[in-house]
Amino acid sequence: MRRSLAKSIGSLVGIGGVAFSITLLSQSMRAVEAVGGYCASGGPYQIRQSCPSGVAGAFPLAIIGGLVFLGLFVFCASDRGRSVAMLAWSALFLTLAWNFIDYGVKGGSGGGAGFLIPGVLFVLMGAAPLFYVVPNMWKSFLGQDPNQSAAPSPFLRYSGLPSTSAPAPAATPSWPSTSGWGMPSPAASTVTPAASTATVAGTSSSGSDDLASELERLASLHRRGELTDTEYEAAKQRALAHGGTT
Amino acid sequence: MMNRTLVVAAHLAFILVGIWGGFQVFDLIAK
Repeated sequence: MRRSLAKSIGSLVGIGGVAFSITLLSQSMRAVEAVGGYCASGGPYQIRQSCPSGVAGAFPLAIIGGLVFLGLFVFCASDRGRSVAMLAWSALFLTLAWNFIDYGVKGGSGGGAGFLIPGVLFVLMGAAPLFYVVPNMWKSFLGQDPNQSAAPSPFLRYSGLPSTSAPAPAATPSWPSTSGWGMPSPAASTVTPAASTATVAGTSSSGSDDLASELERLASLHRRGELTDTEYEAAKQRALAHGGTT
Repeated sequence: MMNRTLVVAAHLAFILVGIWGGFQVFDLIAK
């Protein structure tokens, strides 16, 4: 399916705008470092160190502009390309890290080794997501499904199965392949809803009723003290193993 | 593949233009 021209242009302008905003922010930060690392402007106060002209306005422009452009990119990018937006985090933090480290090494007015601490911290924060994002982007570029990796990210993994110790149902639906955001895409499901419903109805409709009532009965006995904890656990495991036909 | 390469190249080009624009605008507004 061809994407519309407007979305292609939006995606390009969005990513270019993010680069523009990060550059502007970085340059503004360097300008503040050049006057000693801090400055102020406006207000009815006596200001010790005024900001370089224009810099006070450049900061909000860069931050708000960056977010707007990032939103534009995310909205317009294709499913595959959208994960590139995560690189904005790394770009921002690594750029600012460079400024901190540069300032810390060069020293100058107000600079010093203390600035190496936020520098290193920002390098870690900026670089960490790259270890996950870049390999997946490469796979995506090559046309592979980025979520089929051997070690998927824990926060993108999704388990729709209940966490009981019951044996796996006869027709465990293989989880559908996911799009670039790690969200399930119903269209890609390998089990059609009609088929899975039929399987569930055919195999375990009455069985699950029996199991539920058996578990309720056991819980009630346990609550009344007629079953010890050990007996209750054993009986429950047996009921689950036999699907309520004990 | 060719199509994808073109898309990636176009985006990289816009990133470079954005960075260049950032320097230019900063020079313009910060005196």
